[in-house]
Formats: sequence, C-alpha cells, structure tokens
Amino acid sequence: MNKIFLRRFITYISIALILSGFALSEDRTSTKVNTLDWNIGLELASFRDDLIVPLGFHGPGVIVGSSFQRLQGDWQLDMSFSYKFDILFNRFSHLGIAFSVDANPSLLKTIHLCENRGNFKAGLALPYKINNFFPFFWDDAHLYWFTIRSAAVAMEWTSPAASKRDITLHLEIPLFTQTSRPPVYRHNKQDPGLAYWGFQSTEAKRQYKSVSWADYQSVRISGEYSSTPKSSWILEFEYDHAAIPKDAWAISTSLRYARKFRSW
Amino acid sequence: MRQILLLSLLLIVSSCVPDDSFKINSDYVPEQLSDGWEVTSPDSFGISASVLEEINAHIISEDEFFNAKSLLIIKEGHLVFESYVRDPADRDRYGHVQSATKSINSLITGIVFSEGYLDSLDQKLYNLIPHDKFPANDDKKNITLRHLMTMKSGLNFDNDDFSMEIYVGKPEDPIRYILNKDLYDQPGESFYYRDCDPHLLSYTIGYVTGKSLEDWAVQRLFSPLGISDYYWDSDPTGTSMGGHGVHVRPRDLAKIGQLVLDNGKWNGIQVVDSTWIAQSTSLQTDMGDWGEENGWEYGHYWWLIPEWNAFAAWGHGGNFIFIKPDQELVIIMTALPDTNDEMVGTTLDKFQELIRPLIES
Repeated sequence: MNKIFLRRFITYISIALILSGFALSEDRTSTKVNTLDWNIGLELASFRDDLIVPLGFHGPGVIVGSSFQRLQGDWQLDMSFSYKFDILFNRFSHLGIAFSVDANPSLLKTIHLCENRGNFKAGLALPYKINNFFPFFWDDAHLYWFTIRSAAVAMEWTSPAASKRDITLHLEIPLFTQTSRPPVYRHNKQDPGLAYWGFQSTEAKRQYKSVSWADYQSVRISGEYSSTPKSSWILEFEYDHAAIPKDAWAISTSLRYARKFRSW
Repeated sequence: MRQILLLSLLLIVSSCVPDDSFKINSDYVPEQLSDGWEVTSPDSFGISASVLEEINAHIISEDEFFNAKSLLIIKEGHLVFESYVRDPADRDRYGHVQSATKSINSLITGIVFSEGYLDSLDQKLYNLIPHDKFPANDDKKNITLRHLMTMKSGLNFDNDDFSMEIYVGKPEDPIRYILNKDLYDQPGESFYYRDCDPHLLSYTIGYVTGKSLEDWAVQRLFSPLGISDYYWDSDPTGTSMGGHGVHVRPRDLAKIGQLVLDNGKWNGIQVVDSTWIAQSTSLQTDMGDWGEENGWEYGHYWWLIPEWNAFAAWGHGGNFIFIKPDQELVIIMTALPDTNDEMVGTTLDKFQELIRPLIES
C-alpha cells in the first residue's frame, strides 16, 4: 500500500479511537471485556459500473477479516477490517475481478427499553470501503473504483439472554458520505495501480466529494448466530449504489465463520 | 430453518445487479455540419440500402462488436453513413485510437522528410540522436529509420511490457531504457510488431527537428484538416507517444483517411507528399508468420490487405481507418480502446467480415 493510503488509514482509525475513548471514559467503574476474532467466508458479489459498460458482473468471492470488540458497561466499541476478492462474469462470460478493503469502526450504547425482548444498541459507525473493480475483458488498463467514507447510524439487536440461540442483528445506514469515483474520461494509457495488483488503487487520484442521498445509497445488514461461546456464523448483505459520475453498484451477500482467539 | 433458507435465497437474488442495454439503435444518417464534410445520400453512389442496413444491424447488435462506438463510411469524399452505437455524443468527443497512431506517425514522418530534416530511411539512429542513449552493444548502432518503420529494430520489448515499463515505471530516460533492451535478432532481420520502434522514431523526429511529433501534427497535419479537438499522450519526459496515444473524433479520423486516399491532398492542398504515401502504403517488409493466416502485409505503419487491394490503420480494440482506393472508399470504426481482443474487441479480420458486404457488393 502506498504512503498516502497508509497515512489516511492510520489517521482515520486514530480519530475513531480517540472519539470512542472519550465515550468509554465516562464509565470507568464497569468491567471491561475485550475480544479479538478472525473470520473467513464466502460471498456472492455483483458489480456494475456504467463508466465502462452497463452490464452486471456476478460471481463468488472470498473474505478474510478480523475484528476487535470492547464491552464496557453500556458501551460497545467495534473495530473490524476485511479484505474481499471476487471473480466475476457478465452474461457473455466476460471475466472481471473485484477486490475490496473495508474498515469499520463503530461505537454503540445500550438503549434500555423492552429488555425482555433483547438488548438494543444504537450509535455511530464510520465505514471506510474501497471497492476496486477490474473488468479486464472490457478495460485491461484502468481500475474502476468506488470508495466511500461515511458517518452512519448503526443499530444492533441481540436476542434475550434467556434465549437458546444467541442471535445479533446489525444495521447500518450512512447519514453523511464522501465518495471517490474515476473520472468519465481517462487519457492515461494505464493506471499505475495495476502494476501492483491494484493495491496502490490509484489512491493519489482519489478526489473525495460529499454526496447526497440522491447520489449515493447504501445499507449494511448482518445477522450473527453464535453457535458456541467462541465461534459464530455471520450472514451479511451489503448494498452500495453511486449515481456519480455514472451509475455504479457493488452488492454482496456473504456467509462468514468467525472465531475468537483472544479475550481479556 | 426454512425461513433462514428463504432469507438466504432472497439475499442471493438481491445481490445481482441487472443489466441495461449498452447499444442504441442508430439510424446511421449523417447530419450536415460545417466541419468540412459534405453529407450525401448513399443512393447517389449506388450503395444499396440493404447492405448498409445489414452492416448497421451487426454493429448495433449486443451479441457482437461489443465495444464498438462508431462506424462511418465515406464514398468519393462524401459522408454517406454515420452510426454511433453507444452514445450519439461520441460524434463530438475524441477517443483513443491506439495503434492507429502509428499510421499518423508515418504521415508526419513523411512531412519531416519533405522538409529536409531527414535524408534517407537508411540513416542510422546512432547518427541522429545523442550517442549516450546507446549502450556499448555495437549491433544496436546499426538500427536505421527503415528498421523502425518496418518493426525490425530487433529490440526485445514486447507491447505487453512497454506501457507498464515506460508509462507506469517512468524510467528517467525512456529512450535509453528502450535501447538498453536486449536484441532478439539483428536489426533488419525479423518483423516484430510493437510500440518501441515507433516511439524511437517519435523521439528521433523531436530531437532532429526540435519539434515534437504532436507539434508537427498540429502545424502541418491537423491544422490544414481543421482538426482542433484532440489529445496526444506523451511519455514521462514529454516525447509524444509514437505507437499509441492519439485521441481524435471519428469525423476527424475520417479526414485523415480521406487525405491518404487523395494521395496526401486535402481541399486542393498537398499536405503529405504523394510519393511518401504511395511508398508507406505498399509492401515494405517481410512479416514472416505475422500476417500469413489472414494474408496481410505491412507498409510503413500501415496494414495492407492485398485480397482487397486496400490498407488500414489498425488500433487495439477496433479503431480503424480503412482505405480502398479503387472504390474511393474510406471506412472508420472507433471502439473502446482497452478491451480484450479475443473476447470483446474487434480485430482486423472481424472488421473485414463486417464490411465485406459493402466491399463485395
């Protein structure tokens, strides 16, 4: 990854940690529980970018990720990171690939209402997603990216403690978003990022723009089923649509297996 | 369990983005503009409407010519057919013509020769550009302008690597970098189509004349033809790309085709020497296996189609200036420039099949 990306990423995570630190410091008397987990899974992804061709590219992909969670009194801090790689085909069997990086810090607070029906939390998430789409049968020289950084409202419901199955549902809807998309016309013969399997991701060219709901819609819904105290299954649906400078979609449904490897 | 399965199925179905049409139904009747082209009905030249309908049906089909953007037919100097199959706005928008740039490079080299800056195609590159560009290898000092124009420099630098190394890798001195590549054969021995030879020619013209290929184009080629809306890419040190990089509008590409058909003349003015055009569009090199399968030959950066007594500029993706002098015919095709030729792009043989009904009618 190049230095610009790394610097922005570290700044972003630091801001999230500092903000959450203020919140958590309010409640010093409660017991803290920290957990770290890793997760791995499969997904079905779909990309379409009308900057190149209005054809949907669909296919399977793999996800690897890790997350950190701190529970302290009514507060819950989550920090997740995942990398996805998809192999996609359109209806003519034209091949493309997609690779996405996703960082998602969130801070939630328990809302005490109807506690017999489960534990409800709400708060703020700061998702940062880089969706890179490389439809190389249609364009073998340029990346089609779709990057977002948002402030989103996040809600989480966990089944009552007495329930036989521990199920958690999570919903995120962005309130304020900045996106970066490629320009409509590119004169460069080749994107430099392609020399490094796209990890540079043409980051230097990314010009973020604030977008309204009309230009960007997104939702992330997940359900987590804890089969044992140390492991769980997560079913997640993500939808992103940007209307600028032309329509683009990134949609996926994933099933992941997560396992805690450290608690303290 | 059933609910979970249903939910999973619903999510999987929701994960598929639907397709939209990527072609439009063009009526292919050109509009008369004040851009130097006279629009005339194809009937006036005895061109059958059914032939044009058949060609248009292929080009607007979503099952073939996937990346096509436009097709223009010029008969006896008149624009008779103009079809924009992705976006009508492509008429007024320039696009990358990829290796059709090489043929434009050839025309400009002809102008530079006419101006006396170069004496002979057999001049050695070593005697034209700074000696410190060359490594110690003596064999490379035998590379001539003719070798560059016939893809026979012998330098081992494949196109798949060229853009990545020159454009992305940005060597401090691209010319020295190219000349430091190994030789796969002695200069003048083997045909090997790639971008490094025309790029060396572009640098040589820039060094010898003090004006870049783009400067020459603007002053001596584009200006007389009324081409003002264009873009010409350059390497990291400012040398106009010699093997690709020209972006022009389809009607402007057609003007270049008509100029060549008219032996270098446009509106009565001799822009490029007619002898040079005759020479560069006739057989100049033995291609070995390269054109054998399709019967193609190669001039000075022009592809020759002996079967039809025609020749063409051919850019990756499907960007063509096709010229058939005995029928006074110029055909232009433009396409998305960076597609995979096997699966999405249009190669010269596919293009020939597209226009065959017109050629053989």
